[in-house]
Amino acid sequence: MDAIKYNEVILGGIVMLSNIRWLTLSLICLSIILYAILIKWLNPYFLPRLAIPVSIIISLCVGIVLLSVILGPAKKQLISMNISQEKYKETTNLLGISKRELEEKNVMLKQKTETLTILNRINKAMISTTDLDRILGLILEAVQKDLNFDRTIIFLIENSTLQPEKGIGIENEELEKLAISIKDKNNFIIKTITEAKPKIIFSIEEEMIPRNFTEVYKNLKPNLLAAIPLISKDKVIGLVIVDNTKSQREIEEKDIRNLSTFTNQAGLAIDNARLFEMEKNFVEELKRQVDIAKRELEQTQSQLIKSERLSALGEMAAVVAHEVRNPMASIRASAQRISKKIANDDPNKKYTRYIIEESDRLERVVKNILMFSGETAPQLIESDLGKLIEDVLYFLQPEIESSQVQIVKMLDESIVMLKIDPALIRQVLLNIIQNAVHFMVNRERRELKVATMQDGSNIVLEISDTGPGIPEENVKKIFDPFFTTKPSGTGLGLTISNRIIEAHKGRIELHSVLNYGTTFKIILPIS
Amino acid sequence: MAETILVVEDTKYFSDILTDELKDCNYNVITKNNGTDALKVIEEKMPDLIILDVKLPDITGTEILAYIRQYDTNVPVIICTAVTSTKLKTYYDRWANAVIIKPVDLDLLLGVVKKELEKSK
Repeated sequence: MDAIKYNEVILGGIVMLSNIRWLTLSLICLSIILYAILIKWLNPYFLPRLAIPVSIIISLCVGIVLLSVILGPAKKQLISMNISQEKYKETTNLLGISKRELEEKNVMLKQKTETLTILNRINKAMISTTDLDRILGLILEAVQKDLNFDRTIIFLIENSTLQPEKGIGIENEELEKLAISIKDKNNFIIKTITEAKPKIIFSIEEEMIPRNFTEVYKNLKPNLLAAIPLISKDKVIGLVIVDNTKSQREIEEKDIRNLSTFTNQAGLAIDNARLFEMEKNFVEELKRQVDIAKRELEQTQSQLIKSERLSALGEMAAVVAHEVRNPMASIRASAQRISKKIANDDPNKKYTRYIIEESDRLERVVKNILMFSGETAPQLIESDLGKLIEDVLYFLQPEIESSQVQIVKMLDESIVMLKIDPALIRQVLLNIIQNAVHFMVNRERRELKVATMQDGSNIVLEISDTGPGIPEENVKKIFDPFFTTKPSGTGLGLTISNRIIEAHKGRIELHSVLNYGTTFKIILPIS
Repeated sequence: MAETILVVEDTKYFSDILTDELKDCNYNVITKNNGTDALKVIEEKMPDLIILDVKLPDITGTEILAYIRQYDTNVPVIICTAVTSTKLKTYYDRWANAVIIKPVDLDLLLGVVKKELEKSK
């Protein structure tokens, strides 16, 4: 506003000056005209000698008076013009200064905008990725672009060691050499960590530089090396070391201030990545535990189903046993009475025998079912185990012969009488031997070995085959009810066998080698 | 004088066979098909031996056995049943003289009867 006002004054002055010129000329003209008029007017009264000078004097006087009247405001105008001019100069100067300041501010703003853009990019990267390496790379790149240090290296504290994590302007081989223990409290790096404040090395003599640093940081002079701690949640988690040892450009406080913007970001990024890692681990742990719980639940469920099936079976078995045994008692007893009444050579005698034998067989079936459902206990009688084995092999002979299985018997003759339930043990032998023969059908070598031996207070009965063996995952399940690999199997044979041996206070051991064979060891206590 | 044997059995055919078999062996046989009638016989005069089924239409053989043992701890009682229960087995082992599971071998039963009668004399 002032500048415009001054300009107006100056312009007015210039106009006035040009007006003065014309006014002077017109005054001269006016004086000449006045002189001519006066000569004519004074001539009759004065002598011609006097008239001329008087006219000239009057004309000059009038002219001077008029001129002074005219020049008075012009002079004032001129003075004010000078003042305005000075003021104008001053304003121009000020304008220049403010323009320069504006330009400087613009440059600063531009820089800040760039820094903010970079920070924004880092933030975006932090949100989109938890890859610490990538984020640290981005931060280093930004520092390099913005502050242009020769080298920038990020160190992190890991198990009381300050480990160089990532650097820019340095080779990886050199970077690896820079690891130092944080117990070495004298050197300036560890001091920076304990003080938690940025540090520029002003004096090389006063500060301790770690030995492994001297190789990497050559030509060290004051103000060329600085360390800035990385802080996360009020705890120093590492530091950033910058240097200008190559370019020999001194590091200023301003550089450190700018750098701290990035180190703060790095602290956040590390924190973020660690949190994410923790969360990831937590989620994985949770998932693992859920899986375990699920598996356990499934197991419990299947066991529950099995035990439910078994208890239902037990109830059913008890009912069936009662309902079957009562009519069978009548049948068997009737046959026995007929058998007693008729003569030994009667052709019907054998039929009574058939009825009795088949009744006994049915009774065995009932007993087995009851055994399986845990409804009955074995009836222990002194029995000859060797004879029992022979009986079972004889019973299975047709099957053994048709399968072309060779029998090897290694029976301990010293074992004579054993307190067992012969019917039940017979059932066990039948189950195991029949299985062995069944699984050897497609094998090249078919050998069934039955051996008995005394082992301390136990009798061991071994039945070995040269079958395909039992896969490891099936070994555990082999005694489970309803588990079978035979297409027509009920999955009860070995379960019943195991129950029978357990009821005898013994146990069955299983040794199986894939593609070689399986051995069942029945261990029965002598007493 | 022939010994009196009480047969408590609800299965018609089996009690019939058992009675015939025992009579053939010259025993005096009383046959009852339910618990109430059996208890009446016991109250009237205790027989020399009792063959007792467990599952009866009115009261159980176990209850009858308990009743018998209130009055007489010596009379031989042979449990003849189709029920095999580990719980009951302990009880019978304590209070009955023998337990025979159906289907019964008649010779085995006669052997037990003879042995128990001899023992109780």
